[in-house]
Amino acid sequence: MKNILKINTALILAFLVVSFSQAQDGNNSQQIKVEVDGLSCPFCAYGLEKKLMEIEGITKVEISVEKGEALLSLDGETEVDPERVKAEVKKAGFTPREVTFITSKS
Amino acid sequence: MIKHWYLVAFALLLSCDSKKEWVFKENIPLEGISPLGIIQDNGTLIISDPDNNRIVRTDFKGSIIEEWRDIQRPMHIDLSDNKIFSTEFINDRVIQLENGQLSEIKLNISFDAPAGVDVDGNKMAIADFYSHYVHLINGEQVIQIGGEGHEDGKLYYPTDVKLYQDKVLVADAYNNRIQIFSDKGDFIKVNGWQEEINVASGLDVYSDQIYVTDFHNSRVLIYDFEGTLLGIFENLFDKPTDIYIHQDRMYVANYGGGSITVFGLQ
Repeated sequence: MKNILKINTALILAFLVVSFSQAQDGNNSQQIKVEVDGLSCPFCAYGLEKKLMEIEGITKVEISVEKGEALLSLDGETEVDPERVKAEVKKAGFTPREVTFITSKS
Repeated sequence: MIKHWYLVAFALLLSCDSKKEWVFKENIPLEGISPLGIIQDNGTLIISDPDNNRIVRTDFKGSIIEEWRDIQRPMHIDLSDNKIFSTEFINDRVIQLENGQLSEIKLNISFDAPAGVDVDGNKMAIADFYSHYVHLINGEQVIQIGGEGHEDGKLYYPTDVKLYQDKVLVADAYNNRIQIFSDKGDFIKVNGWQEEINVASGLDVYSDQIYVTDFHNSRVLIYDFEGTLLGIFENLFDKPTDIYIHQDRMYVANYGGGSITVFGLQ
């Protein structure tokens, strides 16, 4: 009887751990940080925003002129190719530098 | 930060009438507004605030009286025949406000980030940032002015445009100059490169003089139509993006400082 209880407890704990872990994964949000050379004025910043928003899977673009970077929020479903990101940065008139994927728990 | 103690020293300048000069009146702080385009309308200011996706009407203390929201990065503004015109940089639209109602002006033109619009009678000109063209609509006729390049007559990221008599003036932003075209689209004159403008962000014309905002150098430069430099205002502004002159009052939008600088001609 004690053994059955122990097995049940272990199964319930294992289930809870897996469920918690899956829930955590579901709450992960992914962003892309792009370092950009040449950002300096509002026309540039909004222009870069416009071009990056044309990429499928990007839901939000935040530009920091001071830091010279763009932070892209992803929809979590569409795979975004870093090379496409770089191409859009070039199309916007700037030089792309490092593209970094950031995963954070929300 | 605007250095107020410079104001008196630099505020005295020129006008078409040599007996008159521009005198600093006030600097209007705008809390929570990043002004890009500006006009004056019936004793109020109409300001585009692209950071917050809106156009606002403020009093001369900077308090918001009225606002129009959900405009995707509105840029320069024009006032013509009691209508307010602007552009949506993100959505590639030309918009108008008439009696407080916002609507799109349907045009059979494919824009890519329209940044400036000017309307004069049945003529409308739009500076299109990424196509490097100014589209001039004259009744049924549409003329494309510019195209990407650095030579005379070419444009490189135009941000603002003004119609003045039979001429079209363009803030050729990243060529760091002003260009003048005929309303047939023919190149006439280039101004500004000698003064090392660093992003010609906005312009206006008043009494046959051309006023241009120099974004990175935080200056306003004044030229005549022959290209002669008439004067420079400096140490007064913080990353200016637009200038509007009406009834002997000059308004400069300081995008960097979040304020409007006002001068009077007296």
